[in-house]
Amino acid sequence: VEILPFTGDNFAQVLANDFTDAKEIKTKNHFNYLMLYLGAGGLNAVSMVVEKEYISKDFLHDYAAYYALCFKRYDKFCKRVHFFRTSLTREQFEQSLLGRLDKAVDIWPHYLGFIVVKPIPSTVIGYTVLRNYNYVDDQPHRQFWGLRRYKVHIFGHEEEFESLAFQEQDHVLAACATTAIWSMLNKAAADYHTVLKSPNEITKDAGRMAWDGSRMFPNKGLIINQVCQAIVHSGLETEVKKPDGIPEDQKENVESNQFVSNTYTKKILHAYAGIGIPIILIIQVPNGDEVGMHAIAVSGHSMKPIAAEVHQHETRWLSANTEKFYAHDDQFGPFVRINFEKSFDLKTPWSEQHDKKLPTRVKAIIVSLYPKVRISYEDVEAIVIGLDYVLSRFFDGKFAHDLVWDVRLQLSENFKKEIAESTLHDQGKLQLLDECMPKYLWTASCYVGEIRILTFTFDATDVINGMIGRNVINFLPDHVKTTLGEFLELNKTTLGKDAFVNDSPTGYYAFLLKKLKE
Amino acid sequence: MTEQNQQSPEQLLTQILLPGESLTAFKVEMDEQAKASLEENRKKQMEALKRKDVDENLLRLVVKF
Repeated sequence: VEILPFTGDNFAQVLANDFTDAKEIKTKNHFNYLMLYLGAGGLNAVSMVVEKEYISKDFLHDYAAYYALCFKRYDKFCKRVHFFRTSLTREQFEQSLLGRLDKAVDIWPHYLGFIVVKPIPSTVIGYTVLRNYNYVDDQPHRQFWGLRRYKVHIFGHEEEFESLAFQEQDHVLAACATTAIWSMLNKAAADYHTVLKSPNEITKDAGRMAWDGSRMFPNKGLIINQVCQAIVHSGLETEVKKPDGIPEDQKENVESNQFVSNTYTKKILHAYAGIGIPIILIIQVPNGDEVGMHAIAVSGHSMKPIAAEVHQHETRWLSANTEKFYAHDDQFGPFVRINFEKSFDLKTPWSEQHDKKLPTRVKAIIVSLYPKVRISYEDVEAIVIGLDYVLSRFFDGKFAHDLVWDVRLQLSENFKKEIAESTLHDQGKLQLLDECMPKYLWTASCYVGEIRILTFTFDATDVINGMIGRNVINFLPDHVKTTLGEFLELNKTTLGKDAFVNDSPTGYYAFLLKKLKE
Repeated sequence: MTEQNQQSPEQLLTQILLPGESLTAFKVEMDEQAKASLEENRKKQMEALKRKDVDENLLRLVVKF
């Protein structure tokens, strides 16, 4: 064991190996990013503990599949570096392992996580589990929903905390997409009995040969279809969200100029966050004289709180309050802060370090889901636009502020927890808590200012050809529900016929009428 | 989302209604403007549903950086 202060030189030295020296390490994006992430402006690491021989199961799989078969001699033992937010002496560390330190001076509350250093050339950052920004400065508006609990065993001591595993792209066995899938599966495997595979196994699952007809290893990247295939092989289903517009600086409306708008990206991140599976973004990044596609795994986002909004013609979505998100970018590090700019641009480290500061843009979004979730966000959004239209007619000119819609996919058990803590009257709460519900629900809550007035629930496991509405929950006095029911009855022949375009258009109007009469 | 407001439903309604307003059932007059607005709403719903149709070429994009 080696105990060192956390400095740039020491950190570069511990990341170095027989193939890559400290000088070369210092030129890597990962080193610079991790210095900031672990440094004074981030997790504030002060000390490092280096385990000189460590067997990483994750690397062992890749070692057995590839490196062991090379003529050149590669080691199978890694190094593991632990970080602490306190100064540490060897005596203190040893006394702590022996359980002889008082609680007041215990070192473990200062534990920040670890990085496995792989014994291969250049791509040295292996299995990495580090705490996130909320550990140092807990902010309620910053939500890390794509995390799981990790148990870390260090010389007989067990430490447990929430994070999402990260590793650098191994250009031989994995492309960036493989690494993003690997991070996503780290969470999904903990919650959904999905199979967690090593990067090498994920790449194999993507197909038997590369997109250009050549061998899969060394890997030259995956096409989006292969990314989806690899995810499906692990027991999940995928939904691909496509570009929905053209940035102002692109004149020609051709496919290569089309991107996913920030509005749509925010809607998708907000809508699927409740399920907790990291979302994969396919982004176009600038790199020197070219641009190319890259994959990152989003595990959190931060939002402005809900507030009173002025009336506008368009439907208002709570997701618009999203300010930034946090993603594992295998070319930089874990929990990279990414800001939204203009209608289509993202402020990423790729754009920030580019000479011309060319923007990063989202080309596609891959949402991984448990197979039972069969209804997409888009299906629910269409219904909510219809609901917004009907309610806006009823409330027209009566409310001081605009209606704002919060549309989310969630587990019914979490929805019940939310209802139990809500302002709903006790009888209404008990009725919902007692109700047998599908495992996954889409919920659409309508707010005026900070006040929730109505929540609609939809069965996320149903078929879209039918009517998937389940509940209409009224948070206002009962007479509002009665009057709204009377309004719908009076306008049945006009609004009832044309307010919804879904496969079951009249079904939704009838559903509202029925539920409001209950 | 944790609810911060622990007021009664009547108090909540008073807070969001404009002074002097109350909620009543009425028949929406389907004039030309209302018909156009209904049609526009239907279009927006169809646009949302159309976003589900993913182009084949998008699935062939190489992710390699």
